[in-house]
Amino acid sequence: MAQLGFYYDMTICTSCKVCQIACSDKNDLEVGTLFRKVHNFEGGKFPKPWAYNLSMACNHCAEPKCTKNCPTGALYKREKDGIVMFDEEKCIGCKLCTWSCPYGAPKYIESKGKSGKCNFCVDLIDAGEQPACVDACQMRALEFGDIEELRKKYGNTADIKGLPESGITHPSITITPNKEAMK
Amino acid sequence: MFAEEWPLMMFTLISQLAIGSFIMLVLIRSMLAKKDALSAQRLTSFGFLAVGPIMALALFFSLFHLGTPMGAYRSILNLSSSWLSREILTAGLFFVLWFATYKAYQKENAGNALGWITSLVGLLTIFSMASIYSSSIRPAWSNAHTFIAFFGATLVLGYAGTMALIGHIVKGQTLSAEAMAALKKVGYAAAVALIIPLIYLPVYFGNLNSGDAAAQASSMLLSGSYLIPLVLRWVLSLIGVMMLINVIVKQSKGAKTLPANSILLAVALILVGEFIGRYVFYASAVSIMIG
Amino acid sequence: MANLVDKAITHKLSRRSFLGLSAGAVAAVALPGCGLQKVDAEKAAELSQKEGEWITAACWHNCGGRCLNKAYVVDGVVLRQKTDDTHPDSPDFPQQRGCARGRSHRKMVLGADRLKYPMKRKNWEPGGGKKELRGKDEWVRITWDEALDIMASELKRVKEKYGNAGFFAPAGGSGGGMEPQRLLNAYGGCTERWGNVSWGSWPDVYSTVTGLPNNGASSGNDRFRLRDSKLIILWGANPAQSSQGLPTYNYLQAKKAGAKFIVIDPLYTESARTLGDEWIPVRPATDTTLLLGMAHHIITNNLLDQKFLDNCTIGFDADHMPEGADPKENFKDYVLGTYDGTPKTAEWASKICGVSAEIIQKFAQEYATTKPAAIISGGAPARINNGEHLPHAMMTLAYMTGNVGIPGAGVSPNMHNSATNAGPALVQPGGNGIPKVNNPIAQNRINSGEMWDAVLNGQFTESKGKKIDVNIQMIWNWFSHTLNQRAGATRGIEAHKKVEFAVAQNLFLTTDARYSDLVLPVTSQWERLGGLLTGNREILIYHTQVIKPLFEAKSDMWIVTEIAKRLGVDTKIVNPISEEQQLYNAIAGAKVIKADGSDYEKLVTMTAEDIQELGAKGTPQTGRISYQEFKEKGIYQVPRSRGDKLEFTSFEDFLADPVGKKLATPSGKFEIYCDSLSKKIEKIGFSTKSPIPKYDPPLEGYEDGLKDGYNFQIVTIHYYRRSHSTLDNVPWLREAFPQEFWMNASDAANLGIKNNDIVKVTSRHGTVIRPAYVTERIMPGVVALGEGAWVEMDEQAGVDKAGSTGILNGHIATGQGHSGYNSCNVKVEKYDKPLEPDVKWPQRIIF
Repeated sequence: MAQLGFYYDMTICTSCKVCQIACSDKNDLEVGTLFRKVHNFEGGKFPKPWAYNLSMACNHCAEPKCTKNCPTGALYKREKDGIVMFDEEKCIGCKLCTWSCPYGAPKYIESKGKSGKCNFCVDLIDAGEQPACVDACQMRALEFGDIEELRKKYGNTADIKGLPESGITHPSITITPNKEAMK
Repeated sequence: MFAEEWPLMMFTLISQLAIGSFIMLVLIRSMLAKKDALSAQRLTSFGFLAVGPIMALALFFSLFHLGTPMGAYRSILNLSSSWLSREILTAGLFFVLWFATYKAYQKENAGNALGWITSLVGLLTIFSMASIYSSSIRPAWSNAHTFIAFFGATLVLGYAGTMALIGHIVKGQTLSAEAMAALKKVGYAAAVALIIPLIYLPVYFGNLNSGDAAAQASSMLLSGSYLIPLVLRWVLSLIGVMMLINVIVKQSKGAKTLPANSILLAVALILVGEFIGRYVFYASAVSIMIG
Repeated sequence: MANLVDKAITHKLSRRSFLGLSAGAVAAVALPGCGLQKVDAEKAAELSQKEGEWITAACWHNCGGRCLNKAYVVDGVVLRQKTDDTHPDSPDFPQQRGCARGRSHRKMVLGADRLKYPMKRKNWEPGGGKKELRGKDEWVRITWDEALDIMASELKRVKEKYGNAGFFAPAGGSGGGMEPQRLLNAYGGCTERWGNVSWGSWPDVYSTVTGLPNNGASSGNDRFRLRDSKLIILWGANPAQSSQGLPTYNYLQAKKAGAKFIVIDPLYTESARTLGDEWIPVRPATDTTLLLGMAHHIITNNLLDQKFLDNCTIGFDADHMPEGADPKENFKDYVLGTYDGTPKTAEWASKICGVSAEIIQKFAQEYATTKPAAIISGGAPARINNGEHLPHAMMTLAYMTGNVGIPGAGVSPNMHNSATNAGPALVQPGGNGIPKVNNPIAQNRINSGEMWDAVLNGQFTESKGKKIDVNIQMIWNWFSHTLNQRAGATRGIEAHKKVEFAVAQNLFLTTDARYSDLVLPVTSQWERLGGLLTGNREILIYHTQVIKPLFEAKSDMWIVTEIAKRLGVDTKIVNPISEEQQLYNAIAGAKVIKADGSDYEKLVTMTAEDIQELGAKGTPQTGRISYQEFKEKGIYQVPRSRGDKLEFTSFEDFLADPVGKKLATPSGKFEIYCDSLSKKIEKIGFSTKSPIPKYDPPLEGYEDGLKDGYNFQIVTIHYYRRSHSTLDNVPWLREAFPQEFWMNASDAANLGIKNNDIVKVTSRHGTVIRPAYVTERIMPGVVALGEGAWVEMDEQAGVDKAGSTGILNGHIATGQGHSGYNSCNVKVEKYDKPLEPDVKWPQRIIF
């Protein structure tokens, strides 16, 4: 099975959050629910501060805990490309996915009584387009594709400061980190 | 926290009460079956009846946790990997078997096998329940502590529930020496079930303190904001269990009756203690998510 | 298009949930003709089965960028947006990708807080009517007839009683020639506002020193030539935030090509983080001392490009002074302190600007010994009171090192749309054909820094020593959110409460609308016929109508035309050309540069059918692309590649032949001694400036703060969340970018302030409260707040809860009459009451 994943170049991300907004637009999310979120980290001491950003959606993990724990099968991995899919019809709103994902990808949506999450804009991908976030990035810091290809091109860094240990779910993401973000 | 998680608190506590009570009742029944069949029947029949509605209440509460309760039936669609599916399946099975057991045990001479099978399913329910929390991303939960706490609570609550149910049915009547002995034994069992988690507590803290940031945050919560509730929880449960055992030991030597007020007070202390314990369990869990 | 149908079907679920609008007032959906309303499930399902259309949607704000924005519309319902995908993306021929604000447009245009009907203040009556209630009175819905009648009668009344000077139309800027002003001018004129707000002190300095008739934005290098730079100094420029779209990405290409970046800014911005090899924090309004300290190092270490100075400049030293000037008044001797006894050493500068002498010297050394090096300034450092010395000193520094006129070198304020892409526009729209209506009382122009005082006190400065009386009794707000966005909003609110009549045309109940008597709902660009938008020099965008007008919103032109009818003003003067014809004129007149750069040619081929489709009159023409292609893509992007004939570096000609190709300055050279600048500033009448750049502490700068006990300097930053004040009301953006008050961790610790504590910030002019963002990313002693939040006064406490910087900034006129937002001193203290995050505030929904 192939596995799609994301590449994120933290070093050039300006935290403009257009990925976050493009995602909310594509998925019609209301305030309070973000399928992709730009996180900000900072430290150091003036005049030598450091800061880095982290844009993160679902990492479509190789071994997701959400699909394993979901009691209804609403969350499942698509055979073809390893996308962690979400079937809203099946979801019963038990919130277990939100307890399961170390990356906080599935979100419980109160108004629906169901969860929701990034599905890699599967409809766009299937139509030969790019996910909304990747298409939106002003700095071209986000890419998507076969994760093995991306890892060949950009290395394999999914363990950075601020993120849980990648061994838990084997996320399909590789990151070019700032030096302060390296573990 | 309470506003969000109360259905789960109620579900776990009440289902553990139901299953624990059932197990205790089966224990008592089997201990007395040969020695004092009459007492075995008299002491447990009301209890066996009550377990079902209590379990139903627990399941009812669990629906409030769901955003889409009408879809609750779909929760058993992922038995192959989801502990939640397994929990709901075993809980449902327990409920069905409870009914069979209850019907069967209306006859005095019914064997204990069915009761034990149902108890085993009940224990599997508790195991599944603990596994749900244990497989989460909250280090405070993904720890042997969850199993120890849930099984412990099942027996302690079961003991309290059983004593309350029996106390309600015998209402000051004199019990046989065998009956008193059986109650004493289950009391000791409950005491052990209470003490083991307490003994494990330092190990739990040790695990959290040597864990990641989220684990340490939980540890800080437990030894900070939730220290008083945590202490209170143990004091109340300990006093409650001691009181019950004390009553039985005293009464075994004396009048062999169950003084309703003392029993109710002790049961109340245990229920409050376990409730606070469960509250702390939910409130102190910190997720390892980004940040 | 067939796959769109499939897509629509796959999307059924999410779309249904969108249309279902479970969150009620938070969002809204437009249906043709019926405005914002909830769509039932049946209608939603029906829509989701239909094929929609991607329409090029206007993204029209003054944001500092310009990108392609498209809306997916099914049956008049906007379902989602996207950006440029009209061609494959590459660094050399990049897509024009939009920002978070652009991508949120549907939440603004279709926001539940759109003004739906004309409305008046409940207690309003001709002549005022409980004027003190402005800003807090109830609103009453009225008909357009009533609204237009009120407008006509108030205009007549004020004109009769106070004359045309009693009308104040403060929009100014690029809005100056727009609709209400046309009507007012046709009706006998009005008092206007003047004074640049964005470019600080750059415009007059740049134009007088170089002789180019502009503010310097189009000088410097285009994006390809930037890749020739060895050193790029971003001086108070934060393109990541202030010029979204391509600039930061273009800079990244220069960085990849080998340029080193040094960023000068009191804030460790995202530009500094992503581009900067070095960050040099400097105190606001003191950059001139840093520049002089560098100049001192360069002079005393013989790092001057003497040839450049001799051939291309005047006024650097006593030997190169213009005729008639005092030879002692030369720049070199000023820096060396020959006559004033104060050498402007790095140590001297360090005490004022807060940069260590060592860093100043190292920086100067590096700059002077690196060629080509470009200094690219934002407007921010020059956005200070009496700030003309700063750009002048910055330009002088570049002249001293000869870093001008060679590819990759330069000194200019390349901000806003010109960031990373200086040079003449390669493609541009035609005119719309509307003749200007002149203001018969055009001498009644009040500077931004005096306008509210003029309303309150009845007097303004016309020129040096000349004050003119004025009695303003009507304020007509439209287009530019003047009350919120000009310095001195505290005075502005008082002024609004004083006049007899205030009216606002807007999309929302913005600050100026809130303090008006009459509010008229206007259509957004999405609801209008369409138009052309310019951005960076390589693009021209053609946006078309996305949805029908919402509720009773009308165009500004419709409004003034209807009023004109009631006033008996000739509507042919106010509204001479149909919208369709204007659009046609702009498209047909659009021109694009030829590949060899020699000349422009027509951009659009238009057939008779195309012209008919537009509903205009004209003759068919041949251009580079077809009208239909232009309309469908919504953009024309000039093909570019490295080494093409369209690359640009300013002053290459002059440098090649300084004698033959003289500059349009009196000396024909760059004027380090610039008498015309001095005279210009003096004539304006607010402050004076010596002909050479010196350090003249700005009013309310660092020194004034120390003196008066306002121990923090505040800088007002362009904010990710909005374009100036536009889009500040969009919940998505409020969630993504909270309006935080930046302060250094050590300062916060001294004041007992923790991250997210609510703090009270008081300047000499007003007070705001905001949550503190405690960080190491800002210089101690400096605090920062994003400009553009919509004033939300807590009248009892006397504080603005939104953190609008206009409240803090002083109503001050200096220099060339520019706004000095970044010279402002504040006190900071912990606030004792809680403040809910503004994303949770109720939207300003009246009806």
